[in-house]
Order: sequence, then C-alpha cells, then structure tokens
Amino acid sequence: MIKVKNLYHSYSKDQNYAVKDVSFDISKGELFGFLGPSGAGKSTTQKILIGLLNLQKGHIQIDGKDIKQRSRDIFNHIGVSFERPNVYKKLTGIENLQFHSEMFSVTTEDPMTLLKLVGLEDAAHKKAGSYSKGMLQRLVFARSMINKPKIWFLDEPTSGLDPTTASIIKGIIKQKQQQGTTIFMTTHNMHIAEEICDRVAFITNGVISAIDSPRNLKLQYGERFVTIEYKKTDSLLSESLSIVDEAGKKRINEIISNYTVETMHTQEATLEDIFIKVTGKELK
Amino acid sequence: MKRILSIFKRDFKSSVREFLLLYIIIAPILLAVGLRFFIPSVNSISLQFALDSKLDQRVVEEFSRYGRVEIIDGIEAIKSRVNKVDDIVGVMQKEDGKYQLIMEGNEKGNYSFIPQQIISNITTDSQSVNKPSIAFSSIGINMPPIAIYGSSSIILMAIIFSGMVIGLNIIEEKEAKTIEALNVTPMQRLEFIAGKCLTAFTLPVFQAFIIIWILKLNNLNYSMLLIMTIASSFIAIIFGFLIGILSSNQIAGIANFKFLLLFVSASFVGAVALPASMQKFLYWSPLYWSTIGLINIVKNTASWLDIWTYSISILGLTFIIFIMFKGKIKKGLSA
Ligand SMILES: Nc1ncnc2c1ncn2[C@@H]1O[C@H](COP(=O)(O)OP(=O)(O)OP(=O)(O)O)[C@@H](O)[C@H]1O
Ligand SMILES: [Mg+2]
Repeated sequence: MIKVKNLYHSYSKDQNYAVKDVSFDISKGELFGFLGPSGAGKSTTQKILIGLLNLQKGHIQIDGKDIKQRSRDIFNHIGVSFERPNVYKKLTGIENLQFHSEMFSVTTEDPMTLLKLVGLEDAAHKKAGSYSKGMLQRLVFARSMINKPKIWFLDEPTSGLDPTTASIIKGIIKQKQQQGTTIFMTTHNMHIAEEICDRVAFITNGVISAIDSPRNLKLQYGERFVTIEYKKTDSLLSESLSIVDEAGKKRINEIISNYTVETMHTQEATLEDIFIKVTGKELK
Repeated sequence: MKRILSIFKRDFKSSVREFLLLYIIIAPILLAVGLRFFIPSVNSISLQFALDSKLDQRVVEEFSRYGRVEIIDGIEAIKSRVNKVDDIVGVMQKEDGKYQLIMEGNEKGNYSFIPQQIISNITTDSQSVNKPSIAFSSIGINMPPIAIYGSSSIILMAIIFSGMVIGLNIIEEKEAKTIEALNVTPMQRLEFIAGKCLTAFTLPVFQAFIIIWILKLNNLNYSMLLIMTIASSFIAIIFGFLIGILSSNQIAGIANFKFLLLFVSASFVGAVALPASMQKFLYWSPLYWSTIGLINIVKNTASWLDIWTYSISILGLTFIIFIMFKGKIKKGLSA
C-alpha cells in the first residue's frame, strides 16, 4: 500500500539530512509504527508521504501510484492527523469537522458521531480556541477520520493525552486496523506501539536501524531475564540474570545451590529496552 | 464549486467572530453614517419636480431621470404643491409651447438651473437622437465636494478593507497551519484562492450599495458602480494575498496594511488634488483609476466608455502586479 525507497530529505538542501536513505513497505491493512526520539525525522517522513514536503530524493508509491504523479483525488481516501493541532480557533469543534468534511467528494462521517467517539461531545459547540491541548489533539484525530480513510497517517496521536484518553484513542486505532485501514503511525510511546503495531521501524537521526514486528524484535534482541532475590547471611540480595547466555545460567545455578532463594521472576525485555539496545539511544 | 462556497462561508463566519475583522467590515458603513450628518445637502441632490399632466411622456421620462416626479393636473394644483414646505419645482408648458417653471422663491442654491438645463436638453434634442451627456455634469457640479470625495473615498476604503479581510484570513490559516490540513484534502489550490476571493467580490459590492443608500446618492448609475467596484476588487484581492503571504502574524499584517494604505491614500489624494498636467504620473497606479472612476460615478459624469477604460486599466495593472508576485504567492500558499 505504501512503498518507500531510499528516501532522503534535507531542509537546508545540502548534505545535512533530516531523513537519510529510509526504505520500508507497508502492506494493505497493516498498522506500521514509526518509533524514534524527538528530532529523529518521523514527522519529516510523514510530511513527505502526504505531500506537505517536496519529495527531494527517493521513490514513494502510495496505493500503487508514484506520488509525483498523484492527482488530488487520492486525498479522498487519505486521513491525516497532525502532531500539532491545526484547527480553526474561531470555529467550534463541530464546525471544524463540518467544514473539513465539505472538502471531500466521498461520503463522510457524521461530525457529532466522531466527536462522541473521542469524548468531545460536550465541547462540540464550544470554540476550538477554548479547548485544552488534549482536547485539540483529539479534535485533529477525529477530523482525520472524517472521510473514512483507507490510508491513515497519525503523527503522535497519543502525545499529551492522559492515560485513559490515550487508551481510548488506542482502541479506536486498533478498531480501524481491524476494519482493514492501512495505518502509518509515528510515536515515541513504546507501550502503545508494542501493544497494537503489526510492525515497527526504529528511527534515529534520520536513519532506520530495524524494522520488524515487536514480537520478532524481542525474539531477536530481547534476552530473557530472571530476577532472583536470595538471602546471604543476614542481608536480602537481588540479581538480574540472563537465562540465555552461559554466564547467566551458571550464576543462577550457583545461587540456587548456595543460598536461600526468596523470590524468582522471569522478565521479558520491553520494546523500549530493545530500542535502546539496537539504537544506543534513549527514546526521550 | 461546493468547496469554494464552503471556504467563503468559513471565512465569513470566522471574520464576524473577530473584533478586528468585524470592525474592518463595518467601519466604512459607520463612516458613511458619519458623513451623512456633515452633508445634509446631499439630500437635496434628489430633486423633485411637479409636472403638469398635459406634458409629453418624453418630457416626463427625461425629468424622472434626474429626480422624483409628481404628475399634477393644472396650474393651480401645481402652485399649491410648490408652496408646500419641501423644495419642488413645478413645470408646465404654455399655449405657445414654451416651458414655464413654477417656484416658491426660497429654494436652495440654483434650483432652477437644473430644470432649465433639462428643458434645454429636451428642446435642442428634438432633432438629434443622441442626448448630450453634459446634463449629468450639471448635477454633479451641484454636489458639495465633501459629498463627492467623501463618498467615493469611503467606497474605495470598503473595497481595500475587504482585501484586508482576505489577508487576515490567510494569516490565520498560515499561523494555525490549517492550510496544511486543507492541503491533504482533494481541495485544489485554485478552489482555495477562489473561495478567498469571493469575499473581496461580494463584500464591497454590498457595502458600496449600502453606502450610497445611506448617503442617499440615488442619482448615480448603479451598473457603473457595480462594474467599477468589481474591477477595483481585483486590486484588493492582490493586496489581500500579498499581506497574507508576506505577514507571519496579525501584527505584521496590520503593519503591512498600514504601509499599503499609504499607497492607497497617495493615489486618492493625487487623483483629487493634482493638476491635470500632473495626473499622468499616477497612471501606473490601479488605485488612481479606481478613484477617478468612483468620483465620476458619484458625480454622474462618467460615460460607459470611461468606465470600460478605467476598468481595463485597473485589470491590466493589477495583472502586472500579480505576475510580479506570482511565485511568492504560490510558494506562500503551499507552506
Ligand atoms: N521546517 C524545518 N526546517 C528545518 N529543519 C527542520 C524543520 N522541521 C524539522 N527539522 C529538523 O529535521 C529533523 C527531524 O525533525 P522531525 O520533525 O521530522 O522529527 P520528529 O521525529 O518528528 O520529532 P518529534 O518527536 O519531536 O516530533 C530535526 O533535526 C529538526 O530539527
Ligand atoms: Mg514529529
């Protein structure tokens, strides 16, 4: 559905690339997560995909068509949620959605239904200028669904939201994915990515260092650990040990044979651990 | 087309919700109301004639082009009508075919001059089909300058201000980056531009007619005013887009607008105050042609040839400005 090959982009039009040799394929109905710290080039990539930035170098196909030759009609099937809420402050929530829906030539969703979905029904008739940051975030998110998109671009859909609201948004994304929508989502929320993405790409400094399903990444990079608490003379000690490598295994045996083990938990590496391991960078 | 109207409606809705924009929209109307108090004599522009019912239909038509006409039976009835409190001139034809004016004697200014002029038009006119348009000018001359320049400058102001409405709306789209949201819909760039322009075409037309209604300028040619207003709107549109694209926020927009007003007032004052021999130095300014056009329409001295000449000059000069800034505008709208 989305094919990106050797994409480069430089804001200063020189060798100083914000996105460097990025390639990935997203198949129909897939939820693809683009993970990386701030300034990694996530939004830049999304902006090139949706045509807000010029394609300087590389090839992009969306729905089988080269984006250089696309007609504006394709936007009838594309939904975009922006990182920074860009709505009309003097229009109410519902007026914003209503106006946006008038731009499409396909049947659109009912604005009120969408506002209810994201929990904005009470604020529907208030001016967007009076909305809080999280409310604006939900408004742009709701707006991106107005044309029932086949391909959906979400730039940080959960940033700035409280956990409950974030989880509602996550549920909506999951549901759309089950209905067959192809989704490109940038985020630095590893938990959400791990939970709902079919595949993720790790990007840092404009370069992708791994692309795979969260499960495969864990299998490949994630060591399994046990945390053992044991008594040595009078003090309670705790150690985290790999159950994969030899040194770890040996140490576990030692502890079990020599001391009194109080508790023992196996622990899986999180996507966040793996991100740090693969890219050598923290996510925030 | 649906999208163009939606964009236009949104701009309008949004504009009336912001004090500054609302003010820009109603300021010319308020000024017209103010001007109305300074020029009570504008009122007397609408002349009144009491015509004898025996007069020729052609004569009645001719008089009704210049003022309100009452048809009255016989000299006695006309006399008693003329004696009433308002200014009205009685007109009848004597046995020998000569025209006779009946006046109270206390009418303002040279009230008799105009009916005389009209009559002399009718009589000299009997043979030739083409009427000399001088008759129009005789009425213009009777208008106080404050009425002529006041009203034409307010109309010009309404036109230019509508450009500012476009400009501020574009600034809003740029600042809030809502234009990016529109750029990922099937909306075409041209639809966006057309939607924004619709404001500048409709708003000044409404305002111009409200202004002449407030100022009771009933005798001017409405179609000419319509054409001139629409032609001048193109200048406002270019200004609006330039302000919108060159200013990064509202404050900068207002600053740029002030600079632009300088250019507007220079053209207006120049057109009004410069001697005929110097006027050619203003020919490059489309606003000069708007000014001349509006003044002549208000004075009722414009011919259709004049109106077309002025309009074409405005469109041509505006087009040149557009070509000069085309690249900038295109780039400004994609960001
Ligand atoms: N308009 C711009 N002009 C110049 N440089 C830019 C511009 N936008 C982004 N950059 C630079 O490009 C790089 C990538 O930015 P981008 O916005 O794509 O990051 P991101 O991954 O989306 O980060 P975040 O998580 O903060 O949204 C950064 O170094 C940023 O400074
Ligand atoms: Mg970003």
